[in-house]
Amino acid sequence: MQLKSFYFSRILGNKIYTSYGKVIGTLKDLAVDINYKNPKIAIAAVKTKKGLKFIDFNNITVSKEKGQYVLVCSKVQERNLGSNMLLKKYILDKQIIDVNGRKVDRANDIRLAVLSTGMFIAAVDIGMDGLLRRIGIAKPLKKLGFRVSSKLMLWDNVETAFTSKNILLSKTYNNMNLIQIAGGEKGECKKKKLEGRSINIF
Amino acid sequence: MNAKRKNWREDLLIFFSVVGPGIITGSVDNDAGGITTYSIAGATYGYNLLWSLIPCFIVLLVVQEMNARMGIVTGKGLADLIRENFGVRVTFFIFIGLIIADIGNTATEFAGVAGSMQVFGISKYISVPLAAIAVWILVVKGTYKSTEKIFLIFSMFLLSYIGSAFLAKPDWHEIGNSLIHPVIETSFDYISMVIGMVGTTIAPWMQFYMQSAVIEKGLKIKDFKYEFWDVVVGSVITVVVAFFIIVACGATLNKSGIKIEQAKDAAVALKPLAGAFASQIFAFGLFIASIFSAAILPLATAFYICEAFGFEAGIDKTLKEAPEFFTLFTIIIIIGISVILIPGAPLIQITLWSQIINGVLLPVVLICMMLMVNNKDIMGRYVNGSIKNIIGWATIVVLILLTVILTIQPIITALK
Repeated sequence: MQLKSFYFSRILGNKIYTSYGKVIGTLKDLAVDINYKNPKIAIAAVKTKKGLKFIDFNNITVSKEKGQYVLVCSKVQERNLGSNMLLKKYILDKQIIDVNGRKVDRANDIRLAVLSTGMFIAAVDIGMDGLLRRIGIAKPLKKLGFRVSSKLMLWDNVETAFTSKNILLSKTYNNMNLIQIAGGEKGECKKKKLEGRSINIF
Repeated sequence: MNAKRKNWREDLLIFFSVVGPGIITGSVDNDAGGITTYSIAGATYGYNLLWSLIPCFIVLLVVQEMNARMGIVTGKGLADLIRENFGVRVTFFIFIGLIIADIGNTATEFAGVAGSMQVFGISKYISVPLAAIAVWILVVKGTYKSTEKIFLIFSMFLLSYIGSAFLAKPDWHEIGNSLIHPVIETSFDYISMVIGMVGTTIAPWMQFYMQSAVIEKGLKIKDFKYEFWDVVVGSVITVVVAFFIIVACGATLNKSGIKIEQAKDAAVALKPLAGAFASQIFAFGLFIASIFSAAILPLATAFYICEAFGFEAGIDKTLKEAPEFFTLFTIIIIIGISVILIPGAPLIQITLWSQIINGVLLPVVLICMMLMVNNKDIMGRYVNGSIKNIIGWATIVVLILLTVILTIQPIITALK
């Protein structure tokens, strides 16, 4: 099944196979090229038997089979990490701070979008749904009939920047777009604009 | 010579401006549960368990120094760091345990308030709600500075146990002897008493409070050498207070063969043996320790949860700036006092289970701390030295062994 978008945590730690079904390693992190306005996934950090390798992501496809995400790498091409930014290391679980320096939330998950030109970051998940998914109890709870709302922060509102030691994402926009989806993905979708706020992720 | 003296004065002045988190955390180690444990240790084994305060001191010092260093170097709370480095699952596991244990412990602290005030003839239906209101106003309406000052006064009041011990007229020769040549028994009861003492001296919530306090105080790398001495003084206060509680109970209750179950019993039993004044000092100390910890425990829990989820937190914040923080603080206090004021609440079971959860959590928290404090990405050049690592890991191994024993024993007792 071809995917349009999915959560980063769903593929993190999954095995990566060759086209012939041989295991290459497990996915440890993804790195984005932050020169794009919408950062494109450029590199996959893969834990192999020979240690951690940075592999070109353009050769990797993600598909969904029987409810599981399968990663297939057609050609293992090693690359340098360079100035690409690792998502798990620098975004996942990090503190989100608004323009007034007020702590708002943490980045619970990252929504990735698949386009014809590659895979991109679409939004940062800051909702309860993301937390439950990370703990691994989101699906069982939904099956039991619990309605958990999602809250996503659009990536266009966040701009990336490097500092000497930390990488911070700093938003220069004066407002922030939030997507709130009540009761899961099929629920009603409403867009909320918070005026006068911008976002930093430390 | 003059320059040297001036330096020394300057150092002392800076020390007094930095002092706080270490002394406060060290002092709240001796909470109502701690005083109960030390009283029972003294009443049951006399001076025989005094030696165990030495390893307690070393571990306390090493663990809290790491917290101070991590807070100062990273500018982040322990829960912040755990969430960022170990992800949601580990954070959530600690979160569930900590919140249950802390609510249970808070209830125990309010029980200490109730018990100590009963010695003075004040009903718990008056003392507990008043104490809760006082604690709430102190934290919600106060600033970090004002609250810290009151906490430091509490710490000084705890030293009143020294007076209680002297009034008990202990045999100092015997005390010295049992410190130099301790009689270490191998009975199950003796070992579990030692475990209880270590467990009550180092609790997981203290590490979270310590690190959050260092950050809220705004300490920087240049302050670290002074903060280290704050930690040293705090650890000394912990063992000194514990020492004199054991001595007070050892010199009186143990000699007369009186067995006790609660700290309040010790205060009551001291009256015919060491006089009404000694008894009142003991009860006063218990009151201070209880109300002190009843403030810090909900604080530590609120800090942890807010840091883990990325909400604003701090005593300095207003109710509007950090609504989640103060709501959590208030809820924990309300649950804590409800447990005490409901007649027939199973207080001993609550204490027991909070102790078990704390015992299981402590090694988990310490392992997280050791991994982070040795991570160059996090700590830069301020990673642990080898001596601290040896003491740290040895403590974890011993604690895990002790915890297994400690955990199994109450579970067996609870199931019986």
